[in-house]
Amino acid sequence: MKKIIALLALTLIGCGREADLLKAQKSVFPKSNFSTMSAASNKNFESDMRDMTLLIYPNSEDLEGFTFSPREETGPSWNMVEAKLSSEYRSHITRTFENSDSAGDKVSQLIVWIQTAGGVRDNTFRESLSLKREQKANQDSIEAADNELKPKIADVLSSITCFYQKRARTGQKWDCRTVADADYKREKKPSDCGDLDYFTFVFPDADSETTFETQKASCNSIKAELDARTTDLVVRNQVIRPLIVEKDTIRDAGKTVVLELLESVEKHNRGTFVATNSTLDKALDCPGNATGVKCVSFLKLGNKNTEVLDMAIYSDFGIYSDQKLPTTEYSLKNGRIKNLKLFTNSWGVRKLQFDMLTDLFTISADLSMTVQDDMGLRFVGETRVYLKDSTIVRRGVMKLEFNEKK
Amino acid sequence: MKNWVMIGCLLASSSVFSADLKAPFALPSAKVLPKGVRNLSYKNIMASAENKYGANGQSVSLADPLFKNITFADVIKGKTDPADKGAITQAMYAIGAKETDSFGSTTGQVNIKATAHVPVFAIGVSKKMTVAIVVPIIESSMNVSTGVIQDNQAMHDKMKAELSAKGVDDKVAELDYKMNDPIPSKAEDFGYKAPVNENKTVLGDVQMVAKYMAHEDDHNRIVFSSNLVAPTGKDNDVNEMIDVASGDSQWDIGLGVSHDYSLSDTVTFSSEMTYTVQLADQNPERVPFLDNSKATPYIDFNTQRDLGDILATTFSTKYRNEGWNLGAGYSFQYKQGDKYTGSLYAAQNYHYLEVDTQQNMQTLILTAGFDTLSLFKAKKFPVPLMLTFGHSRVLAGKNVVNDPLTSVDFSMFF
Repeated sequence: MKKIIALLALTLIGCGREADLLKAQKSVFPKSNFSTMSAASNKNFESDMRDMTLLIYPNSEDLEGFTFSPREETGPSWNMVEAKLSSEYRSHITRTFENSDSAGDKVSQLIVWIQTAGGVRDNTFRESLSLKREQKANQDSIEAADNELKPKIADVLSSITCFYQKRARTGQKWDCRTVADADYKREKKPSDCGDLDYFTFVFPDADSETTFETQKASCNSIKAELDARTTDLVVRNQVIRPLIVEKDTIRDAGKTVVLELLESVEKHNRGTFVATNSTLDKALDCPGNATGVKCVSFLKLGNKNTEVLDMAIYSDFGIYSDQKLPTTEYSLKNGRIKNLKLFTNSWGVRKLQFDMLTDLFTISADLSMTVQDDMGLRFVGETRVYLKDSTIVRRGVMKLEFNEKK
Repeated sequence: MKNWVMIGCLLASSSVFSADLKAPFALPSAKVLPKGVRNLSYKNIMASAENKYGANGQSVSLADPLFKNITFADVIKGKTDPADKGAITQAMYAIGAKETDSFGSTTGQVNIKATAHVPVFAIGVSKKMTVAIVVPIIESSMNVSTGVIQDNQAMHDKMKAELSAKGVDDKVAELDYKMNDPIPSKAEDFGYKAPVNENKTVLGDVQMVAKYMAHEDDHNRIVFSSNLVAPTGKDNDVNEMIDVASGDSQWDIGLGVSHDYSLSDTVTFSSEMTYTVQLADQNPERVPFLDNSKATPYIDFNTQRDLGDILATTFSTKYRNEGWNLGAGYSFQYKQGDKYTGSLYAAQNYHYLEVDTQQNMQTLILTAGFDTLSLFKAKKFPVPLMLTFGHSRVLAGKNVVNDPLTSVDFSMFF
């Protein structure tokens, strides 16, 4: 019997098997590297926010029964935004939200529009910035040429005086003498080189005539150089000026599209989805009764932009919602901004996280920090919006933008 | 007594569950133990799970659901939050891509080997009645590996450039991370544990069996049997994407009839038919939100489940001479589709669990053995023993694992 049990035990022990180790096929492209830390450490940024976006996305429940089509007066804004998209892109998106669409589809469609408008705003800002930089560079070149050549022209012109007896008729040449006498004693100074063509001198001697002709030639030569260096730039800046206005108008149109959508959601749902933030783009009056005094949201960075020294956001919430919040300061100082962290995460991405405590909800922001030559310093990312006394959690987006100090 | 090998492999969109049909490893027999005789046997069944028959009867790898194109459409459909769907859709429009454009494809391999150690104790309680208890212990080894073949670098770069332009570096990093090994990443998103290699030994579903000899003459024996399967095993872990289950967490009741026809002293023909009712129960289930993928973040811990009943029939012949025996058999099994209902999510979502749960399986069973019963009766051997080797091959089927299994059955009577 013992032998049998031993045989049984041997069978038991001998039969466990292990599966072969496996290695699935893998082939991946190189991963991205992030250099925000080094890019930021060499730059200085204004602490006042250039612009700020704070939007709250509706949930599916918020959009049950929601319908939308743009108002007639905002149609041009929608047209402007759409005009910046490819025809393929345009073919996928629709401005109207039908009752027959599922609430989930309406949320997706709304996010597509918000992000589309955000993209258009970013792109037109870049284009506008590029134009403004070109305009500034042109203006700098014009001013440099003016500063260099206009004094030379002035020097030449200052040495020429037309002593005349009678004013020339319009279109007629001035009868001048190089030296004043009893009849020709009134003085006329040329204001530009072209005036010299309208001076007819009676020269006292051949040397005087030669001197004048030399001065005139010198003046025309300098003027020609000035024109060569500035005329095209002046013309270009005349072209650029309306283009900048156009870009800024499109940028505003993007904002109009987003606001119209979210304001409609507020009208439908009576919840709060829209915030207006005080920035350099649009400064709001400070909270309280100090009308006329503007408070601009700011973020002060220190230690080569590796730490936050101070932060304040001035925002109001809600336009058509039942519960609106007036312009309020949300700052580290007053405790309405809490749990702030600026750090590098495990993926090497610089992150800014903080909670913004309003009277209606707490906004938890999880933002990526980036530094780009055109856009400057930006903190962009998602938010979670926790409504007070409710289990509802909404998502949202936040963007803080800062100019580089030049 | 033979449908106890529980190799449940819950892949992302696999249909192989613990309550599935399993290949039989023994031939039917219309025999009962003499009164007072006890039988202690140990069965060792070695099975693997690498391939299965799909819904159309074609043989596919169990890892087949892991091989998927990662198109924009898949990425968008795989998001449960419409805000995420909208964000990805917008990015797709922005880079001029289409829903059919692919980032590449996922890859994966799954290798499961299971050994069931099954002690069975039976006793003849009367001349006609034998009862038995079966206590399976399942030892399993599962190795899994996932990967990705990235494709279309231009589109990857465009996507990253689009996200960078928006200033969301963490989304760029997230894209890198998720595309580096999408399957574990998706598992993480949906709250599953990361798929890892795993060895475990767990108790299976304990069975109680009763056999009653209804008729016996010189050539024929007819035995009615019944069995009760207790949910002592462990069903698939609802938090594991890939798991080896040792049971299905619900009670089964089975009834059967077996018939032996002895053509001669050496040749016997046997047949058997069984019907197993899998009783409805309440079970935690992941409730899919897509018809083509069972990967989902939604769990209903109170899902009403009614696994399909199983009808099985087997025909076999056995040749036995002076203790040696050879046998061959054919088995056909059919399992009804499962039914799932619940109140937490839309009814349609529960119906997605029912996809590909109707099964059938045709199996060839070969056995060879030696016993000392004749020698014992002739007092030439001290103990009546029996050793049988079995090998089963799945010939055809639908929605069932089709790997062969091999068994060793060692019995002694006292």
